[in-house]
Amino acid sequence: MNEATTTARDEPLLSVQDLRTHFSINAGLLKAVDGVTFDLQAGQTLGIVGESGSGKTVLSRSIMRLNLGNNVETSGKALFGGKDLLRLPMGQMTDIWGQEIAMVFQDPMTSLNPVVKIGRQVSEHVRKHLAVSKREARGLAVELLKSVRIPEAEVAIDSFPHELSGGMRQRVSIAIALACGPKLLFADEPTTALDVTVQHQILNLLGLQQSERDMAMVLVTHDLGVVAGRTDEIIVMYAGKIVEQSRTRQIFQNTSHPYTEALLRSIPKTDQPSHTRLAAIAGRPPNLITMPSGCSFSPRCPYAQERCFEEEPPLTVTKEGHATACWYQVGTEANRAAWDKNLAAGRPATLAVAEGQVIDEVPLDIGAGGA
Amino acid sequence: MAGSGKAHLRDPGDVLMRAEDLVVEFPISRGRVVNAVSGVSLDVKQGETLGLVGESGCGKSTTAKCLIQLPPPTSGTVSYHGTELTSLDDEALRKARTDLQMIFQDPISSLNPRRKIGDVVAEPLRVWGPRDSAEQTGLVDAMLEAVGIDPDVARDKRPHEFSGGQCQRISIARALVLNPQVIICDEPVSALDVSVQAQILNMLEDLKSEYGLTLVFIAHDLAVVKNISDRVAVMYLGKLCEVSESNDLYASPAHPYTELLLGSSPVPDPSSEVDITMVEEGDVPSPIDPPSGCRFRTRCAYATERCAQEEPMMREVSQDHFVACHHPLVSVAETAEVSA
Repeated sequence: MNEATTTARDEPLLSVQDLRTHFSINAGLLKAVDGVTFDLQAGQTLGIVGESGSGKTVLSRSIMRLNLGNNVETSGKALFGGKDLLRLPMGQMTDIWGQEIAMVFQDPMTSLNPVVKIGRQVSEHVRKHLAVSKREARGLAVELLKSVRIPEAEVAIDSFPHELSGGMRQRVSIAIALACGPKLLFADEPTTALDVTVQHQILNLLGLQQSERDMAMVLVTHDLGVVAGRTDEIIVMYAGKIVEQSRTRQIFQNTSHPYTEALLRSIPKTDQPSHTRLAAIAGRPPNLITMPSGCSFSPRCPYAQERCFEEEPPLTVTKEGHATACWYQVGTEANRAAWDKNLAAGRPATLAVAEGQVIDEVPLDIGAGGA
Repeated sequence: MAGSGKAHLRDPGDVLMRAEDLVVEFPISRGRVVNAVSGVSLDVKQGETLGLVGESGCGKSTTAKCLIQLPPPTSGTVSYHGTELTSLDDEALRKARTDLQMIFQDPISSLNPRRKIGDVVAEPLRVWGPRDSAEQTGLVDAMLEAVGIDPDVARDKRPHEFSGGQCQRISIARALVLNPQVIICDEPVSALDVSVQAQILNMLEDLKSEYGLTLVFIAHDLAVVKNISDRVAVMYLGKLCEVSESNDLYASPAHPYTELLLGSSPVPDPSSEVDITMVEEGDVPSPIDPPSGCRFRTRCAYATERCAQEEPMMREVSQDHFVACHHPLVSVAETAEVSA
């Protein structure tokens, strides 16, 4: 979409253009993903961040062609190696799964087959795609399990999923995904069900494997902390649309969309003293069937003005490649004016943030005594 | 760590609830037992929030549930307001439990899907509350309003019509309707989005000061626990590692396990470089056959011979900061070890 960095860029590995995934359900047309465009270069990591229902999972599943069901309509393009994945016959898609693009799912308890030993689950892909003998496949499976740091891989290969802990099972899913050396890996909330220590290990493992294999990765998560140190670029999604997209550092340091700002503010941080008032976001995510007119974040936005309720802001890109869909971007003069106006008018969404802010500004040493 | 001892307990006269030497064992096949909790002592002051952190399977939920005798511990004592809960008969315990309520992790499955919200919240009142139904309705409405749910809209709806955050607020209303003293919060925000999590945490703080509640708050997210707690206890494999005033714990963790937990939690800051080459092998040891001595020693970078042989006891490292470790990360006067 734009030349974001100075690194020489050739053809992107994956190019998604105006992707829309709509579900027709009884209540109406549910626009889960509504016009998403992005490019991913080989070897890069892209983070997709958003709350439940923002469309981040449907987006990755649409590209993978995993939205099975006959009430789904997907339009747009997902170009991968010159082919449009969305138009490819299913028969050819099965050759891409595992070999070219692989996926790690959120729940390691349910994504493995409970009645098949993990060795066979890991070598299944290898046997299908690489035409190796049973014995060679077993050797490869042991190698793969070792590469994801499973202790005593020769023994573990004969265990069933229920004999392993959650973290170990997620390592097995990663081994399965990596088996045929894919060029692109979708990791859909790979650590949400895991403990912090295990999460740390799994994310490190993914990063390590990625750099060893020069593989591109799409890391889908609701946790900005997870993507902060581990991605090159971040997309923030809200109600099926991209609201902000930029290099990781830019997203955190020059946050420009009010939603990203609000998300960052609502996370409790260990360097804040206990009982710090958190800045909650007022209200709830919109209903994807009856979306508000104008900007979909406007009902919850502390800066919203009349224009926001009427006109939908386009995704505008700065020359540094920072894309934002907002009329009153954070850090601009117009944004400050909007804030003052809303505060004076007593807009509840603004007051909710303002109350949090007053407490944020108390010097950090309150209650930090006793150290 | 993974040590025992009671150096961190305060004067029994000052505390609302005090548990000593809690042991919970679950029998499994072939005569073996799962050592879920092995000798944990804790206390909570009136109006205080005690945070319990640790990985899955460390016994934090089991410990908290023991406090309200759900189930009663295999051995150990729990005193509440001077009453020994473990020795009460069923009827007396039933009465005592009106003071002790609980909020669960999964807000949707903790509400009966077939009942109306008004009935769900009124249920405790039907058992213990006023007989008069108008009075009951008044209490229910007041409680729903206190958690930010419009009673006129919600009363006749069922749980599936609400979002996860709203269901959690309804669970909180149900827990509060009998005007309890202590609320055990078992990972109440783990299943929620960050923006909703912030709402619930702020609300718990407000309700706590409004109703004078004492909270025991379980979570695996260290930042969440710090935000809400006055005092934090870190658990590992059924034992306590470290107990401290919360700001001090995060500023200067004394136990290697606390350090590991803090080092693992994701920080929303891109300048904090992540060393991806650090991938630990292995797993948490099994609570069926826990390691000898200090239970954390198999994963501890500082472990020595002594850690395998001798179980560390709780000792004070600074004011209101206690650790059970032979090699704490902050200096300790050796004499402090005998204070108990």
